[in-house]
Amino acid sequence: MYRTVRQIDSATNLLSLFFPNFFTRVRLPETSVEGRAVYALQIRAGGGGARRAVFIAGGTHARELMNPDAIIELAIDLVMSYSNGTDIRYGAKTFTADEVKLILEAMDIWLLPCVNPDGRNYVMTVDDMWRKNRRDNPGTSCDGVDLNRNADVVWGVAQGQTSCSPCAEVYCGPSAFSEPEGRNVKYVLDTAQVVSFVDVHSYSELILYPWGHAPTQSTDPTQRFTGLPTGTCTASIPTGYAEYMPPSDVRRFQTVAHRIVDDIAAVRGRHYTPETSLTLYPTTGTQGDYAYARHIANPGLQKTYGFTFETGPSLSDARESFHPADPTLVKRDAKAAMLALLQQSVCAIELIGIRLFGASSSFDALRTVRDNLLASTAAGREWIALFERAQFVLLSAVTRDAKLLKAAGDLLQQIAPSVGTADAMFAEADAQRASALLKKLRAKVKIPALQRDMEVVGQRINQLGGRSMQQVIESLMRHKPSQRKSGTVKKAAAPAIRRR
Amino acid sequence: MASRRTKTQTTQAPTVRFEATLGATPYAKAIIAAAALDLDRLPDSKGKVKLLVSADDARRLLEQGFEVHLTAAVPVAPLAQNLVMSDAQATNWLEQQVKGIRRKGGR
Repeated sequence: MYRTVRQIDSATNLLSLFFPNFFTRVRLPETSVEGRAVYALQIRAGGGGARRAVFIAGGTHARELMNPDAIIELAIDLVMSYSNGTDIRYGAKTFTADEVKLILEAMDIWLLPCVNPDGRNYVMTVDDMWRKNRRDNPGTSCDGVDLNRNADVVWGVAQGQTSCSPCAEVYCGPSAFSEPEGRNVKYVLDTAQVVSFVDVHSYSELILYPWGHAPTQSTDPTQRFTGLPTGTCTASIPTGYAEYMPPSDVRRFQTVAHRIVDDIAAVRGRHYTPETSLTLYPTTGTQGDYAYARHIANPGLQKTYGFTFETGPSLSDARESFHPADPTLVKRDAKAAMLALLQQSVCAIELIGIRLFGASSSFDALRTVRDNLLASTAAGREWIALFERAQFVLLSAVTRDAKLLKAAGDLLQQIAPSVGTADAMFAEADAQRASALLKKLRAKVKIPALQRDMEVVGQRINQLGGRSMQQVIESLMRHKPSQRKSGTVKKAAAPAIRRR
Repeated sequence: MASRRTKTQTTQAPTVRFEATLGATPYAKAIIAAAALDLDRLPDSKGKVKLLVSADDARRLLEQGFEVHLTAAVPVAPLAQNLVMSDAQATNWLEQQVKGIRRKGGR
């Protein structure tokens, strides 16, 4: 069964009335083409000021009915878990209450369950295979703009599954962001500090990430969409053109997509495929690509990792694929996917910063080292992967124990600011404190694989104490976690003044 | 780019469409044709070029030399009413889900 637009609006309204400390219902600035109000739901728990955000949108394509319902149900699952301290179980996949708590206290979650309310209403009252919004296209009897071709990224280049013909199901509209429904998506991206965005579609069981207009390459940074001729409906992508993406971002998209795929598979064994949007078919003006493209077009903007999910299997009957008679199982997979994305968007170190110091800016140096140095070598990337693998479990353990949390916070505050400083030292005393902390954490973590990871980290910490920070970072960039460090890195003489 | 269909062609809204696949055609040629004719392409797990077409679309494809397999009729109709939640069902479901959680007003 599927909710009507009015029922979706009612659900967001009731949730914000029942649980105002948890949900804030936000009326977005634009009404739909037919004049409907469009609402987003902001979710957060705990205190603090501005936070990183994850933005989940659904219902962009009208006939893909399952996802707006799944988003509403996810909101309810989150509040139930947080309020009752209960795990969320989707089939055989469990998200623990601690994990949900961390997500909600670390980030703002923006849900826009129904981007295209006019289209959904039309599906329920006139044509159940309607895809676009309900724009009246002047000079033609064909209605509607495809909201997932109308965003301002390579807009107006008609190729593959994008068209400048108003009668096409993939009509890109008369100009970029000509449609109020799409401008609402842009508004949330402009307003919140969105680090991850997903536009949830159906169907095909795919986890898509940029780019959709051209193959992705990481060798020629001069090949950027900002230099392409666009916006005219006559231009095309030059033959042989491939869009640049930094290797660290390629890796990030792939890593997150694979983890989402793994979590979906854990529910009931459905195998989603992670791939670039282009692999499905060429597109321009999609919301997922736009979300990621924003910081490239305007370097002053927050970088947002933009995804598109295609939930549900491809069945022999298109109607049953778009809106199955019983969508329960597909919605469960979709909710696991959304929750996995939320989980992958939490930064453990940042959360400790927020918890203890009310801010995370002092940890920017750590993030810079991770993204610019460690991510540039195979060994460094393995260390990042190890950290990301372990961070959620460790963070849960740390935040349950006030003494451990304080010890971790003190250590991070001591070390983090000096990490990017050339002559700073990783003092023996700090190494000993880190080892002691790890030992306590290892005792609390009952997962053997994680205990082995922590043992590896502990050994490396012991080896690197007393070296300069620069040597520590170089060592991590050269030697994988699984590799014994060679004795080439020698202890440096401590500088006269330690920089903090 | 102007609309490829004239107003007279689309004035009569179709009452039925068809799920169709393009056969005996190289895949690359078929997807280019589907895009060029602004047809509604549907995902297909078997890797076929699957489309939702009107009778007029099917005719255009045939005129261009494609072999068109119509696999199902899809009448233009609203979502089956048994798939739409009633307002009471929606409210009851929500109430049931959040039962027992302390809410504003003490309920």
